[in-house]
Amino acid sequence: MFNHYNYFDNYGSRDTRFYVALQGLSKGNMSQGLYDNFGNYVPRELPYTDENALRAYAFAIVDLGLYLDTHPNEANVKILYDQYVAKYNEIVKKMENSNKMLNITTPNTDKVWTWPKCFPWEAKN
Amino acid sequence: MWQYNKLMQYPLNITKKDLKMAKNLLSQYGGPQGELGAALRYLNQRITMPDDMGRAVLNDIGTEELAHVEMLQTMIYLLMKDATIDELKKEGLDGWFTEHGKDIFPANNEAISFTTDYISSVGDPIANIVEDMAAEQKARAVYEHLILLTDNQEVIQPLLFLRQREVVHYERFRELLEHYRKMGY
Repeated sequence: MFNHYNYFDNYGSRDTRFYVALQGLSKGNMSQGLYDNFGNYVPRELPYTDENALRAYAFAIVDLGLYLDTHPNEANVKILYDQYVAKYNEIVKKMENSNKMLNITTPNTDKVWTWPKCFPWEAKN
Repeated sequence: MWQYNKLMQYPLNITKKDLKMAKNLLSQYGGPQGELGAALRYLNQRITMPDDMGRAVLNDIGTEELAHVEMLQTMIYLLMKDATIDELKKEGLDGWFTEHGKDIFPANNEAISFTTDYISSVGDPIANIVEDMAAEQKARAVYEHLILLTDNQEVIQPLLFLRQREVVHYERFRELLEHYRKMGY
């Protein structure tokens, strides 16, 4: 039976047309319908880490944002997008006043300026 | 304006040198189907898109391409940084080393410098968008060739991600084209 109440309230969060954020990041695409396999190559499932969680939410925002750019009237997708914006900002808030500066507007209470530790292009070791 | 987030869009974990792939990956940095060209093309075309949808699509995809430029820069740099002079000579990278040392530089795998001859904006939104669709398909094809050229999973995984992004970008440009056709451009 099609339950209208659940459709409008939960459809966004149970939208089966999209992968969840970390899956989407691993596959390079949030839309299940658009995923295009190449030969026998299998994209690996990225491990859950704090960094990958932030990446995953940022990716969901970017990719769902692109979807909404060309499907502006899909309210259920906008709900999903908003949920990811909230999750992303939650993590960003946790990074404030730590030594993990995300960008130049990240609040930092150090009295001394320090350059960002480890830019993303540097070797891990 | 742009703001830099200190976070690679897709995690890179390059732990060993690979000069063959470093050389070939240059093509997706400064080559004709590469990410630098894509970023410039879209961020240039965004200015004269005829409506909000067009401006948003070109701006958003162009911005994402800058994140991909960063991935290619990082892969090339990390794959090359520990090479010895002998290894560079063996891979035919002594010419590169002469002019650039181990610096990266926007050029393709034949050391042909990047040029804005690789991009267009012709004063017509339909023509511009169809160029963008072609660019995404060409980039997808080049990523497939790069994937086939290596067994190195540290390189294959980010390339699979970048290839998938081209598939998605193509689809968004195609939807934008459909929208403009409906509007009678």
